[in-house]
Amino acid sequence: MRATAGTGSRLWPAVRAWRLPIVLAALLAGAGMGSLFAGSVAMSPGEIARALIGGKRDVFEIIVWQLRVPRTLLAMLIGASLGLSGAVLQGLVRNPLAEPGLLGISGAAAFGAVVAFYSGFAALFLLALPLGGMAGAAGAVVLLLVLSGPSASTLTLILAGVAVSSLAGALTALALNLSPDPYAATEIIFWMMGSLADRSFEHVQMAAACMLPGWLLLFSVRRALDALSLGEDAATSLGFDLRSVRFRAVFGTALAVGAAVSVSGTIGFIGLVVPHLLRPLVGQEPGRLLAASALGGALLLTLTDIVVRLLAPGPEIKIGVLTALFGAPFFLVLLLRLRREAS
Amino acid sequence: MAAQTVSRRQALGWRRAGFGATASSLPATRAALLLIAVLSAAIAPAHAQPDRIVSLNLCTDQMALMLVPRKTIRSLSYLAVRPDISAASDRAGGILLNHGRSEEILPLHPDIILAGRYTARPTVFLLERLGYDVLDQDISRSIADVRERVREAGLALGKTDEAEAQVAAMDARLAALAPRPGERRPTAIYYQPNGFAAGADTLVGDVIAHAGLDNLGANAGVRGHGRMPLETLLELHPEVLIVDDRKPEAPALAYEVLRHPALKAMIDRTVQVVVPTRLWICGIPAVVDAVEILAAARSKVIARSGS
Repeated sequence: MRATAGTGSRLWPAVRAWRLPIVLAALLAGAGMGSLFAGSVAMSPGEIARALIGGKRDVFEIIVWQLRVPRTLLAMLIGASLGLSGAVLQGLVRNPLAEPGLLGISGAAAFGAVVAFYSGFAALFLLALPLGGMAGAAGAVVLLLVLSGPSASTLTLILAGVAVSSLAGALTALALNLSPDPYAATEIIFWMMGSLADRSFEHVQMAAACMLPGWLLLFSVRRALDALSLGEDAATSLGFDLRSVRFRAVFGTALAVGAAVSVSGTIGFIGLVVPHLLRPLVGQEPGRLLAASALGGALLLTLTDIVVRLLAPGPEIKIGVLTALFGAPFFLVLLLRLRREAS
Repeated sequence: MAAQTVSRRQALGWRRAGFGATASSLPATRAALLLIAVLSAAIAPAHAQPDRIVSLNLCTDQMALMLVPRKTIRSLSYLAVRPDISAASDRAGGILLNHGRSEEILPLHPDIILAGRYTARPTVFLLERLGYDVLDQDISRSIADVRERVREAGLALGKTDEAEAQVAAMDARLAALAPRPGERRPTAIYYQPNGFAAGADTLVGDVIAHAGLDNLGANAGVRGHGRMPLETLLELHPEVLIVDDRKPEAPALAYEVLRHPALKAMIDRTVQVVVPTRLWICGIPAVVDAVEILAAARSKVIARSGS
C-alpha cells in the first residue's frame, strides 16, 4: 500500500511534466492533418488519403506531396524554431520582451538571405541560402549583445533591437534595389512579411539541416536557464559556465532563426506570443518552457498558415501580416502590464 | 533598368486590360486620332510622307521599321535594339535611340511622333501641347487589334498600301495555320514568373485561340494577366504549357514557381513550348510567328494522343 503510494507520488511530477508537451503534440498532429486540406484545389478526405498513400503519381498526389506536405512541414519547423528561440532568449536575458523579430535578429537574417539569394551565391549549393541567413542572424545577435551588454534593461535591449531592425530593413531594401532583375524590388514584401507559399521539399531539407543543430544547442541550455532565473551569481555558483551558455544560446538562435527566415522571410511575434501563453502552464520554469514553446510555435504557425490559405480567394496575404495582426496587440498589452508591475 | 520599364508598362497594360475600365472611352479617342491623322494628311501634304519619324515606344518602333524606309526614321526608343523584346532589333542598329524625354525629341524636329498609350506620358502631353503630330497607339488585346494598329500606323505614316499588304500577308498565314473545322483543341496555359497566367482578353490569349488551342487561363476566369495558384495549374493540367524565353537578369523569387518540383512533375506529362517574348509582347504581325509555334505544338499533341 505504502509502496504504491510512493511510486505514484514519484510518477506524478513526471506525468505532469509531460502532459503539456503531449497535449501540444497531439494538437499539432491535428493541425498538420488539417493543413493538408487547405489550398486552392478542393479535395475530399478520401482523395487526400489516397494521395498520401500514393503510387498513382496523379495530379492530387503531386499537389499533396509536392506542395501541401512540404508547406506543412515548413510551418512546423519554422514555428518551432521561432517559439524555441523566443523562449531561450527570454530566459537568457531574463527579459520578457526578447524575441527574434523584435530584436532584429529575423530582419538581419533576411538581409543575409537576400544577399545570398540575389547575388547568385544561393544557387551554388543547397545550404548556401540558409548560410546567408544564419550569418545575418549571428551578426545581429552579436551586435545586440555588444550594444546592450549582458544584463541590459528591457528598454536598452528593445532599443538596440529597433536599431538593428531598421538597419537590416534598410540594407535589405538597398540590396533588392541594386538587383538588375525587374522582379527583385517587388520581393521585399516576401522578406519583410514572410510567406510559405509554393515552397518545396528542397526548402524543407535546407531548413531542417540547419535548424536541428540549432535546436540541440538551444535545448542544451535548458538547465542553465533554470539556474539563471535565480540570478547570474547563483547560476555561476551552481557550476554553469555562463560564457558557454550564452555562446550556445546565441548560435543556436542564429542557426534556427537564420535557417527559418532564409526559406520563409521574416515572420514576427511567434517567439513573443508562444512562450508568454505557455509560461503559466509550466510553472514559471524557463527550462521546461523550451519543449512546450517549440511545439506551441509549430502549432501556432501551422494554424496561421491554414488561415492564410482559407482567407484568400485572390493572391495570398503574407503570413507575417497575420502574425503581426495578433502579435502586435499582444505586445502592447504586455508592455502595459510590465509598466503596471514596475510602478 | 531597361527591363523594369518594360515590365511596368506591361503591368499597366495588363491591369487596364484586366479591368477594362477605359474601354468605353477608347473608340472615341481612336476615332479622334484617326481624324487628326486624316486631317493632317489632307491639310499639310508635306506631311503625307513624313521623313523625320520619331518613335517613343517599343511597339511603334517595330511598326515604323516595318512600314517606312530606315532613313526616314530619326529616332527609336532605347528598347528597339534589345533582341529579347524587339522582333526588329536586327534592323534598329545605327538609328539614334531615345528614352522618351522631351529634350531628346525636340531637337530632332520630328514631323510625326509615334507613342504608346502607356509610355512617356509627360513627353507625349508636352509634344501634343506644342502642336506636334502624335500617333498615340493603344495596346493590342487581340489579333483584330493588331490589324487595326497596323492600318492606323500606315495611315499616319502615309503608307496605307504597305499596311494593307502586311495585314493581308498576316491573314493569309493565319488562315493556313488555323485548325481544320472539327479538329480537337488541346488545352494550354501560358505560365509566367510569379505564377501569372494569360486570360481571354489578352493578345496572348487570342494568339493561343488562333493556334487552335483551348486557353485554360480564360476558362479558369483569369482576367487580363492574372495570378493562378500553382495548385490550380496542376489541377487544370494543360496539355500544352507555354513559357517565355526570357533569361532572368539576376536571381529573383519570381522564377522559383517555374522551377518548383511539382511543376516539373507535371511537365513530364505535358508538351512544353517556349514562345520568344519578342513575338507577342507587342501587337505586331510577328504574333503570327507565335501562332505558328503554338500550332506546331497543337499538331504534336494531337499526333501523340492519336497514336
